[in-house]
Amino acid sequence: MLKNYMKMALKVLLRRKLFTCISLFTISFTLMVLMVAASLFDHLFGSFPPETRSDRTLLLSSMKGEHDESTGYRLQGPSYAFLERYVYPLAHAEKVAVYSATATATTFRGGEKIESQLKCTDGAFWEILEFDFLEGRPYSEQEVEEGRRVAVINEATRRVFFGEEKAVGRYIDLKDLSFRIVGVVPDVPAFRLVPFADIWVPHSAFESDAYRRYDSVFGHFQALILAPGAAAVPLIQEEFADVLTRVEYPNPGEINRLSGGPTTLLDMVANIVFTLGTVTGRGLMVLVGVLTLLFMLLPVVSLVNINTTRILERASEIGVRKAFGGSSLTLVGQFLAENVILTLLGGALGLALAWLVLQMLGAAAIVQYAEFQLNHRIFLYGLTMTLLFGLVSGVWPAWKMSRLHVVDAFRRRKQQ
Amino acid sequence: MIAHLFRLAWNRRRTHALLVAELLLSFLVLAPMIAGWVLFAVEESKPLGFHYEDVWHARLSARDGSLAGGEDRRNVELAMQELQALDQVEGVAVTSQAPLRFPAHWSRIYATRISDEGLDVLGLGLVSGRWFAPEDEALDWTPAVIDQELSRALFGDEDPLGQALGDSPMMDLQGGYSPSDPHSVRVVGVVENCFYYKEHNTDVPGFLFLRFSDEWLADPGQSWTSLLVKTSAGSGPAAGERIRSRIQAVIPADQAWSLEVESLAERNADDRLDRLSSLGFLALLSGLMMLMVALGLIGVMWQNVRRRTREIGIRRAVGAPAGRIYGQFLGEPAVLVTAAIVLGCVPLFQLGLLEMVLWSRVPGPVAAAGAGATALVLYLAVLVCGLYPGWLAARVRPAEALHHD
Repeated sequence: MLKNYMKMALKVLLRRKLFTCISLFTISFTLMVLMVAASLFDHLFGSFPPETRSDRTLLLSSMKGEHDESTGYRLQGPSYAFLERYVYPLAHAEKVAVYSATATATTFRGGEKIESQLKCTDGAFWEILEFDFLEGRPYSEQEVEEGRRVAVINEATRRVFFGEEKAVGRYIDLKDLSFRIVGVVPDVPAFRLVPFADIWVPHSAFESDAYRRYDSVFGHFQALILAPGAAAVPLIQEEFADVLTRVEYPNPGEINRLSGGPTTLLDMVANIVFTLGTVTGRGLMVLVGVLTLLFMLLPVVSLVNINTTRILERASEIGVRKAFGGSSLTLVGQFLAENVILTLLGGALGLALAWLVLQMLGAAAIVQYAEFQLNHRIFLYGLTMTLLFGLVSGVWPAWKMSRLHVVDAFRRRKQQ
Repeated sequence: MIAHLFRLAWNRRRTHALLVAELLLSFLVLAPMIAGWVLFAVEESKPLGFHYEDVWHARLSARDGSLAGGEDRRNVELAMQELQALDQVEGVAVTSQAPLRFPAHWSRIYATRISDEGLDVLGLGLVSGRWFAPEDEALDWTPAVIDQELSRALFGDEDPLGQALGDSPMMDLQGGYSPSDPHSVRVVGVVENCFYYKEHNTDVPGFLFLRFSDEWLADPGQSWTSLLVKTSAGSGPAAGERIRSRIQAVIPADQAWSLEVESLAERNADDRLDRLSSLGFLALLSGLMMLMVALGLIGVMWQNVRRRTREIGIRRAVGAPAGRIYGQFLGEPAVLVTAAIVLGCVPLFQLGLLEMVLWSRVPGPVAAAGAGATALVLYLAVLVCGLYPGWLAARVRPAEALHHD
């Protein structure tokens, strides 16, 4: 049965090549855009090393500080001292890592200026994030405690400073201080906000201790909290909300109320995009879904129009099938199957196009160290979208066609 | 003739409903993109109100997140003195936000702190009142300078000088954050309209400058500070390197500050390119979608002509010239486009679709111009799509057509 449908579908496709080309163009273009978008989304939020446990990793990157007598507020990251005091001791957390926002470090090498992105972290940073070390090892909590000048660099930095040679054991100068390289990790794309940097060093490696003084709740630091399981995530959030009610403010004349708390990466991005925290990660997903459907609407309507017109061409075939007892339902099934076969062809074409576009995006280096690949998640998503697309754009024309009256079908006169 | 075309289209309204829906969606896809370009052109044609040529922006941030305390404040002052001593430097100002012409859409800033030198460094045009002065440090209120647009919006025709800004909504936001008392902000001067980090997403028009006081600099938790350095014309890229090395010489290594020095002219050029490329991306995407729609339309129209061969034959037989037939087959889609445009204006103007897609405030005339241009594009598109099918229709021979079945 299905084999017959396929044979028939191919015959029909080859009969009107112009129409087939138009349909294929519409389908493959639409699915290509959807798959590229899905792939970008996946690379931003999906589980990629080193962020392999994103379902139970929480991020505290900014808090909102207010004062009872003022309408103003400040939205900023916490200070190290605040995190040390209130986030490290969280009871429900399995591990807590604290790291600074990335800053640019300039080094001169043979008169050439090299700008690297620097992140100051603690030892737990390397335990929560699972980097694959190409060389050496991460620095330990103990080395951070002792204020050792050690550094982990990425592949690109190794290439710039040492060419193809081994880097572990050699030294790199940052802000007039010399750091011994203990490890080399693969490049992380710049849009992975949490792990991204070129060089990672212990936060205690610079001489000033000023950041350990608790003179402001705000600063340049962020915390990464690993929950023992996805179920513990809300517990940690509740615990932190409770902690916020007991915070001791270093300068209560300025800020005496804090809000915000650890969120998942998706929630955090939703907060950034919609500034004031009105949209959660789930809201963002719903929005993305609605946008996807809206994007598909125009191609679907266009295909429906083409299909409805084409069906009239096949009026006599419909007439014959109906006259010999084919039910409306079988006819609808046949036309849907044909449409899905066409859509699958378009989907395959779209997948190839998406691969091409992603290669081009990677080659254009729009984001530092970004490489885009298709993976099984994108493939499954693409397949789902293709089937959905095929069914939705086929249902209406198939239904209309099945309602064609036998007599009208034979006379091919019916104007509708 | 036109009334007749409308009647023809109406008679077949059920068949046409889907086509109108397709054209309506195309209208809704195209209109925001075109309005975005119109908005960009309008924005770019407005006078800027400040100068950024030969201005360098040095952004200092402390690694531990605070420039707090006397030590760091002294460093900023030292850095300013060092820079002023450079022979190519004409002035140095401290600000909380560097002036950008094409800011990212989500930056909600329309107020900034700027120090006494700001007037000269940015070349702002003072209209009335005065700019900030060192004596203001002794005041127990914060002096503010507003631009003409904001003055008109807040005070109408009244003289804004000496008026308190009170707890106007602007005080809520970042740039206007006042650590001591937000209710004590008074206007001391008015400058020309300033397109300086303007946010279109908010309802507050115009721009507000607050004095960058020593108190603000000493605010613990203030994590970074921007220095604006005006150099003499034509000092070239080497100036940026000299500014950087001068500041770096002042900052002790153990303070571990990060320092970024950029040319504002370059930064603005980059931002402009960013804006253009996102508009270009929108144009590419909607252009390809339009191509898709156009191909589909050609198919539908062609099929339409084939199906109506008998009708054409009868018209020809009773004496309609080929030109009239051509006109009919071009005119019918135009009627459908008209319907789609009329329907499309509802979400565009009533539901604020433009604002949602462009993520910024779109003034009425810009939206109207965008919708008008989109309508034109759509009429043109169906005209082009109809050329071949229409020609086929005009070629139909009455004798053959009447045989056709």
